Amino acid sequence: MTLGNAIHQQNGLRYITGLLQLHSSAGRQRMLSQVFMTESDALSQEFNLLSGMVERLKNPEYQGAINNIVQGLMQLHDIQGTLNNLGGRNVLDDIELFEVKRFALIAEEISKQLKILNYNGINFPALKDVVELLDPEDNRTAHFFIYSAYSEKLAELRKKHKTIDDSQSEEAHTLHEKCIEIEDTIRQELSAKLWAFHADIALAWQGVAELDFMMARARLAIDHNMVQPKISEEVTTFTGLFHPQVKAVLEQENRTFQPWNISLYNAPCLITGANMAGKTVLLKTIALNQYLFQFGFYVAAASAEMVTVEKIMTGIGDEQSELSGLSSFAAEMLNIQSIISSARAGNKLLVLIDEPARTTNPHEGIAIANALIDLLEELNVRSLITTHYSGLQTDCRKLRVKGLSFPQNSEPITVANINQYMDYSLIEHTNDEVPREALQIAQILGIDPELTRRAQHYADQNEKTL
Amino acid sequence: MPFVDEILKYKSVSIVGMEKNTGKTECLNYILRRLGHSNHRLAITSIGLDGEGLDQVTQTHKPEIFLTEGDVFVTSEAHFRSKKLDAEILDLSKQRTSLGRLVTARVTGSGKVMISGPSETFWIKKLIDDMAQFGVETTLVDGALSRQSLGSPAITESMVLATGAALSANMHTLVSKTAFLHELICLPQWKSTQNDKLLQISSGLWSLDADGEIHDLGIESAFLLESNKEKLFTYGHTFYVSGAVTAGLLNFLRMQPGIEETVIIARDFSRIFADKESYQAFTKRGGQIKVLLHTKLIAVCVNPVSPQGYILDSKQLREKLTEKLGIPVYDIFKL
Repeated sequence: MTLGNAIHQQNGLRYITGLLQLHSSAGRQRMLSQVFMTESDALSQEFNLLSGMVERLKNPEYQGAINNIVQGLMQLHDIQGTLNNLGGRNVLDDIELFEVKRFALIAEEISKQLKILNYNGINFPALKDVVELLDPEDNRTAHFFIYSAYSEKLAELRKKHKTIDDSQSEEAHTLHEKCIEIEDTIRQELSAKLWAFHADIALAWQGVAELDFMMARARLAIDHNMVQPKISEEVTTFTGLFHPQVKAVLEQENRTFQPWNISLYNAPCLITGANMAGKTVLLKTIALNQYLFQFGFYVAAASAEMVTVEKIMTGIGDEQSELSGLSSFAAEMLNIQSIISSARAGNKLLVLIDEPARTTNPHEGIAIANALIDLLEELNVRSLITTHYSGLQTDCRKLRVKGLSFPQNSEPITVANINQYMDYSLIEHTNDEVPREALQIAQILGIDPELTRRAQHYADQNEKTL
Repeated sequence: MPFVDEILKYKSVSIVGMEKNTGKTECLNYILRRLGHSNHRLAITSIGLDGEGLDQVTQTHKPEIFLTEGDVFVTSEAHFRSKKLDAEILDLSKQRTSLGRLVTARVTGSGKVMISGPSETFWIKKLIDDMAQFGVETTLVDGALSRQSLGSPAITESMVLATGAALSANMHTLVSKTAFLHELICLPQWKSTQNDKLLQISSGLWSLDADGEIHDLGIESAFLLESNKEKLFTYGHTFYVSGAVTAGLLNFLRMQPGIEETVIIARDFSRIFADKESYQAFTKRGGQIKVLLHTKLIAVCVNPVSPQGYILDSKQLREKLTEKLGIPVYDIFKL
């Protein structure tokens, strides 16, 4: 899976990649082709390179060199068409030769700045010979034409051509044609010499793409207080975990995001809590950060130790059941089926499911949720499952969002201020009862009082019959 | 030397033909010829319909322009490859037109080239600004007046207008049509601190209140005016029309109460598509039209020969136009 594919399925990733300050189309393409890494070794190498870049970006001593690199990256044009022509051993025209020359000059400059940074994470071949070939008059500007310096004969003919007053005369035409002939020969010779440098130029092109993507990730990590995840083999543990997008939205409204601390073992963990307690956001945050980790980004937490997985599988209610013509229950069941079969096939998974079997009757719903948890337990699947169902007969690990606290003599709780009274932290939970705060939350949301009053009445009746 | 000295004073000049075959290219070549041997550094580019390589009407090739050593030009990749001159490439755009990227080059051996440029106003403006880094003092823009064209010649500081028998073989009609366009070109500029904001608006009818605040009237087209009458005057009688100012709009506003204090702000003269009669009826009742982008008209060039072979009396035509317009008028073949 590439990041380009994952962006389409994951809103959070789309948001994060939108924050990346990429300066070139090469960098953008490199970003989209980034692969989901499952090998610890590959990841640890990636994070070494990235942390090296983060250090340099933070160092005020290097600001000048970094600005110069950014300037260079911004000037880059997409030369892949020209590279293909070069690789295919075609003769390049003036526009293509110009592109190669300009690219070589920019690449040389970037390479010089990288030496100042003392950053060796990127393979960057020298293109000095390419520059020299295309700059026979030693101007070191990114301009190009078939210079007279390439051929004495051409210089002589051009000189002669200029002395002719009547540009339409026979003599002028003949001279011009001779010039064109020599120019064509020079283009062929230049192209033939450049073929030998094709591999180097292509490598430098990959190098600038790599550099742009690396710098963008480093900048993102610094700007958004993200952290380098440690690679762990057993337990995934976050402290101060947050969702960058939700955090940004809250901060815009002068509200604060309460981060979580959580550990995930290779077994299911059940999460309960009131409505509006952020359970769904928690699942999305964990999914997003697992993706970030395995795509080689720093993660949104104060600290993180993470286990790699082969696949992240979610059921967070954003599947497009309408489009497939299935009922929401059918779509959910099929999704659960694919999770189970993947787990049975021995894949190392991270599974995140929001309220399984909520779209059917509670009697069978509880049964299905229970069975699912049993299976995930048996198959040792690292998973997080939220629910509102009471009475799940499972001894898996349970966490509860602390939920609303009702301080005495306080202002009435509303949608606007609920966030101040909601404690989002996760606590270990031992019994199988779930909080009953749905009616309270409905009142806060300003739902018709007649509806909530009657609902309370029915709830009391149910209680009595039990 | 007629009007060429005037051109040297401006950073950008567009050469605009009122109709095909009114001699725009001859006019451009004349300017280039006269400036070719001076030390003034010139650049040339074009705005107009993308893909104008072939004349849409006559299927003949778009005329080539003769450039001399030292001139800078901007044209599409396609036209650069078919150039008949020697040139050093200075720059290549990232953005594409329908004829490919734009090449900026400096002539190293005189000859002819076809010129094509960006079709968006924003891009042409940036191009003109970028020319300074190549030592260019004046940029000439081969302009087009077209409803389909997004780019407007009004983006340049000044303008030379080419008119002629191709527009009308009847001298009276020709003079009258040219005078009307001249009147539009001379419309006063709307001066406010909000101009940049207004320029960024790309569609719809907007209103400016007494404090100069901009309000979207939510009326997408002039056809919907009748059914939105009550909304129209919520913020007063000053309107910004981001698109075309049509006869329909002028006629409608003319009938409304408050016409004496009505001000229409158009982006520039090329956005006014109303006919002379509707325009005059509107202004006679007290309505005013102003523009955000104002450009100075330096001169008018006439081509007395029509493509069908009519030839108008050059002297008489020039005299009549000079009298009507009050600015210099030249016959391109007699320059």
